[in-house]
Amino acid sequence: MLVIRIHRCPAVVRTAISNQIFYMKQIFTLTFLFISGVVLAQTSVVKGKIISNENEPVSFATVQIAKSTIATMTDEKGHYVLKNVPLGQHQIIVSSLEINPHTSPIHVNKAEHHHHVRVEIKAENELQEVQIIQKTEKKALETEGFAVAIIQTKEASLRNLTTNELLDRTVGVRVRQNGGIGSRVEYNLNGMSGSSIGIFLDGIEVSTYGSSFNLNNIPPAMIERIEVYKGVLPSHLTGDYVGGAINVVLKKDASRNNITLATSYGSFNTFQSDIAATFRDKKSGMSARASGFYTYTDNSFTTWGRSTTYVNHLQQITRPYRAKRFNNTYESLGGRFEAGFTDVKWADQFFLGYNISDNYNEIPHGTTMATPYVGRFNETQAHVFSINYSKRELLFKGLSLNVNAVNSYRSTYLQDTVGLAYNWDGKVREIIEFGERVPLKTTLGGQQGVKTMTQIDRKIINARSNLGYTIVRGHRISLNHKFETTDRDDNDLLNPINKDLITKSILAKNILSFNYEAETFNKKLKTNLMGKYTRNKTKRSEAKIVAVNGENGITRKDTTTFASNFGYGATLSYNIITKFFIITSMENGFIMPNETQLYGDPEINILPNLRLDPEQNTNYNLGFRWGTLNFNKHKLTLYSNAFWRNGNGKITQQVVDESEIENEADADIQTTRYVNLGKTQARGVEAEVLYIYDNKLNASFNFSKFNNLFKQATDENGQAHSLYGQQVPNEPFFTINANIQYRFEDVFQKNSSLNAYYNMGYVGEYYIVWGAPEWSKTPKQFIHDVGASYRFPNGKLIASLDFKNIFNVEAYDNFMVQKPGRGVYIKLNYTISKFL
Amino acid sequence: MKNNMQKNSIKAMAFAMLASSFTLLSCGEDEPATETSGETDKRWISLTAAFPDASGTAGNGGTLAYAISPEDAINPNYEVKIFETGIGFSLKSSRTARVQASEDGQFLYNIQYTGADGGVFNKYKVSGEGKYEEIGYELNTATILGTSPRWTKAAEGIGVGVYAGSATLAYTGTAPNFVYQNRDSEVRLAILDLNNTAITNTAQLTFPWSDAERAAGYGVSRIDVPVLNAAKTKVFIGCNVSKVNPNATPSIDASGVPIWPSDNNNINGTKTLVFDYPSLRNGKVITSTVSKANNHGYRTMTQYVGTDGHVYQATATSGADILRIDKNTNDYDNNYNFNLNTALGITDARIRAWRYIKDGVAVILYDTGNDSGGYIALANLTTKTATKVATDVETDAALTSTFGQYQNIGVHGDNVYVPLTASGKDGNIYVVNWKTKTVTKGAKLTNQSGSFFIGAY
Repeated sequence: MLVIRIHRCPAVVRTAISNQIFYMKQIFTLTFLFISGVVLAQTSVVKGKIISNENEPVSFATVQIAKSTIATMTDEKGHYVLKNVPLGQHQIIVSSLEINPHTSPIHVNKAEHHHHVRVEIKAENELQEVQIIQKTEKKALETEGFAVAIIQTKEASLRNLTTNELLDRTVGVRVRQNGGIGSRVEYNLNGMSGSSIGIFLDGIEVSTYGSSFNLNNIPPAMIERIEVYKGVLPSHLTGDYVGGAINVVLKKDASRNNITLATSYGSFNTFQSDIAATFRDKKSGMSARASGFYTYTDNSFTTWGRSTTYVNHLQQITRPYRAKRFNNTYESLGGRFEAGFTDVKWADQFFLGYNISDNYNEIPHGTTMATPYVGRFNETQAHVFSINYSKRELLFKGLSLNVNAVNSYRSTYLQDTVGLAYNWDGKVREIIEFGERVPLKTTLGGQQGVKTMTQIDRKIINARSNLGYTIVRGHRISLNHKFETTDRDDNDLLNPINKDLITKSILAKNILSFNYEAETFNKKLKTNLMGKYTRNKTKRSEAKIVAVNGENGITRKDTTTFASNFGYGATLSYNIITKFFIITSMENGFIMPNETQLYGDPEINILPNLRLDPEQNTNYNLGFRWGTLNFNKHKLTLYSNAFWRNGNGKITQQVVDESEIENEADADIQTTRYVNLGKTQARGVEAEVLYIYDNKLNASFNFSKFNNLFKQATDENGQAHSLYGQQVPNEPFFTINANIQYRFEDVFQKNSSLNAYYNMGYVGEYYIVWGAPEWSKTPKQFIHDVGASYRFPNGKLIASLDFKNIFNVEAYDNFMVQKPGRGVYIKLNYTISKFL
Repeated sequence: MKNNMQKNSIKAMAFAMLASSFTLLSCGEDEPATETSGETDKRWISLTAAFPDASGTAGNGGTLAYAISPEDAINPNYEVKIFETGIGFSLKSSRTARVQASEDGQFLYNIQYTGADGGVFNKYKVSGEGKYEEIGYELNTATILGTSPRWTKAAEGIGVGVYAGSATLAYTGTAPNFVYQNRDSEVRLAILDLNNTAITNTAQLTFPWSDAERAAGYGVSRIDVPVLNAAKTKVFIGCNVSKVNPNATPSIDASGVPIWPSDNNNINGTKTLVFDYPSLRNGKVITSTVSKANNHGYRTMTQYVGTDGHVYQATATSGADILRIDKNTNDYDNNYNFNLNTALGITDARIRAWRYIKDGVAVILYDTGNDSGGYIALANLTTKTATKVATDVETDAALTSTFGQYQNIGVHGDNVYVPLTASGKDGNIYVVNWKTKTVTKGAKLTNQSGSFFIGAY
């Protein structure tokens, strides 16, 4: 079935499919199944290789005997085998999304034929078709049993969209950002958020790369796709996560020589550029890929909501006040260089990589907008070295190995030394002090508290390896090991201390997971059983002064602690009728507190809490996926999932309770820490409808609604808790996204195309404190964006124009922090495909 | 001395003029209404109640207010269901509000304690039974006092907010031979004009320890409960005093800084911080030789100006003493001591909240280290006597949570209004006639788990 659909949309961007080995394998096996059912007495085997007019093998092309059901696909090297071909005269049709369909005659008269075909590569082609092929690839993941959404970035990369904006439009995902580009982000997946959500870059925690290389600044152009798993995670993403994960799969394709350039400019002095180049030497298999990005923005948007205030010299507040944000510059520069070999004897892929990134980020306010900051900023930098090896059929058939390891050196510098308080008009506030009207000094010399200059250096090793073995077709076991260790070095540059005396902690984390995947009942039933064992080792070394015979000396006390837990899960997908899959999964897992949660992070205002316990979670998902259904020119896909998440001792960020800490200055909304927040439960449903008409109109609608409830039954005195059953405050729980896209052909010029877009995002109202009083309400938000992109006839240049928040409505997030109003952005993309 | 006083009052007048000129200046076109029509002269008793936070700490979540008439307050058939949806008025504050009120019960004042608007001052006017409206300017105190400010109504119409930064350690020398220097903290003060909603003067200084105290290892990282003296020339501020032993061998904390061992047992007396009002100059520390317990309260006011003009200060919320600061010397009168243990003939009493009523009569909420429960006493600070006022709930152990957050005892005419609800249990307003010493069990207070009433105004 899938094969036929590919026939219908023959043209595609070549780069889109080259590395879809995993998905294509499924199609391949389906096809195999299909043809193996055909039994004929007098048959032959037709073998051959499909090569392009550029002398490159054409992988994953469909090879078919005309007017028959005999068909197969070429492998990565362009080889194909057609079995059970009846003797006689036939036409062999070769088709693929990247080539012009090719038909060649063959007279089959012996047991084995060699028939090589040379085909023509299609010119760069249209976006619309990219989407269609990618849906088939999405589908492989989406029908495995996990509650997963796959985001394709190909099209977004041509527009003025950030990776976070793309994520925010995805079903069940709410991106909560504390202001404009570069500000702190928290991801909420159907009510699960914080540390229960894993954010990965090719299966490695993105935090390894530091805040200079994260979803705030990685442009969609560098990304192949984003997988959003809600609840249960596949074995290649195991970690201390039970709420789900976002896995960003970076582009790895290096099959053709190609350079792409893109640059955009827009409101609030926002400038974004990216570049990518790939190279491959066909003979040696040597490949290289380089990509880079640069982002600059002043984030100088206007806010006018009730969080924006003006305070006069009598400290009387005027609100709402209209002000332009300042001290909010964000600048980010990053590059990624990879070189290695693909499709050589000893490796399917072997890459060495270097990732460098550098960030400058001004911090315009604390958790709330109560006080604007001047001169508080951080600078982050990361050098990350990576090695990636994958090989199927290692040593013997059915065994495959995949290793991905990175070694990161990242640093964060934080400075806050301006001792005057400011108003939202950008001027210094005044006060009457000792009877005189004078500039208002901050209490502790910095904008957010104590005058600060700190540098934190981290050395992180993060490695993941996966050994898989296919016992027999349809039964596969795999063993996954993950190792992570962080060495952290804190430096107070204002008050240097003797580092020999500080407490040193090194945390090493090992996670061993095992899973068994099976395809049974005619491949209709897919099951996946998973087990996960986590073991943390913490080495802590404390200094101590001891007086011996009246003389003071120093000794160190070393302690090593271990913590471990075992979790398990399962997924199931059942193909009941054609294109209708029932998808379900469950999981019981623990999350260990991470470094930030335990030891705090001054750069993002989080205090330490060494008493954190692991969080226990039980998750269930049950849903279906139906489609793609074709009715003439109409295509429809339906998806829905109900989820039930139970958290015990949920790790949540909470405002610090001043009665528990000695340092009064920390008793502040602007500082938080992670706590075990009793029991919670999120129960809800998400759904998505995709509709395509004539490959021109593309519409989607999704929503997620859930109750994120406080479920701790008793209070400290063992009495019924009066908050029991109440919605957890400051968490949005109802979101809707809709978008419509239409493609016009031959606008202004022949062979050009124009895509017009409309997007709508809705977030229901929610309250930021318990008891839901009116004054703490974050109002509902309804935001509309429109845009268009124009492809010039030569196919090399694409220009995009986007208008965001066109009605200039008040948009809010965490603690009433207002987000940007109306903005206009323009972007140019250019591709150079033949330079060698 | 007299000369000095005169000088002070001239200064005070100058400041008052300065302050009023600012407030006059601020009477612009967008000045919010400070008076509203309606039953402006009717006396209302405002009740406040606190509910738990998410981690289950009773009374630590937020605060509701409800205004009732004095007739209803004393009526046992009247019921206040403050926690029912739409009944209690939610005072702006993420955590338990720090509520103060005008003497006539017309206005409630609060500074939001933590939250998105932590440190913002709001003023409310009672506009009918259970009803409030916000009036006057919001004030931003956060930059001066932090987002969880300590403040009280220090005199009618005058609020004083206080802040002490953490006592940060200064030392010299290198490991392992560190030498102690001091544990100074930053102090900030703000005077709030409650009538015109404005901050009319502030101060910023280093905690004014004497050299001897500084060297002896004293530190203060929390100050609270400011009160003005009768002449309104001085402000007295309660201190949470700690002391380390600078001569002992220090240990090392996680960030490599030495910490000297605690020496709180050798604190030489209860300490109060004194400043001139309203100049906020001439800060100094006065020390009582009568008691060593801290006097900074926790959520409740600990000091009042008596009818005799002296300031009476309880060593609340852990001590049993009421100390006197002399109106003439503005220093502790170490010849005066009211001890609740002695007055009641008990041991281990702790004053959890109290209120000076008139002519030396005071009402005291206390508990004891010997049993669980919470009690009311009527005391005479002149004769140094006290009698326990019996209530139905006094032996309830869950009163401990209630007393921990108790903020205010209401006084109107001859009656004292004490709402008493053990955490999570229904209770009543106890109305004590301080002249006849009779107690009436008044309006019923309906409760919910982890919650309790914390004040009457």
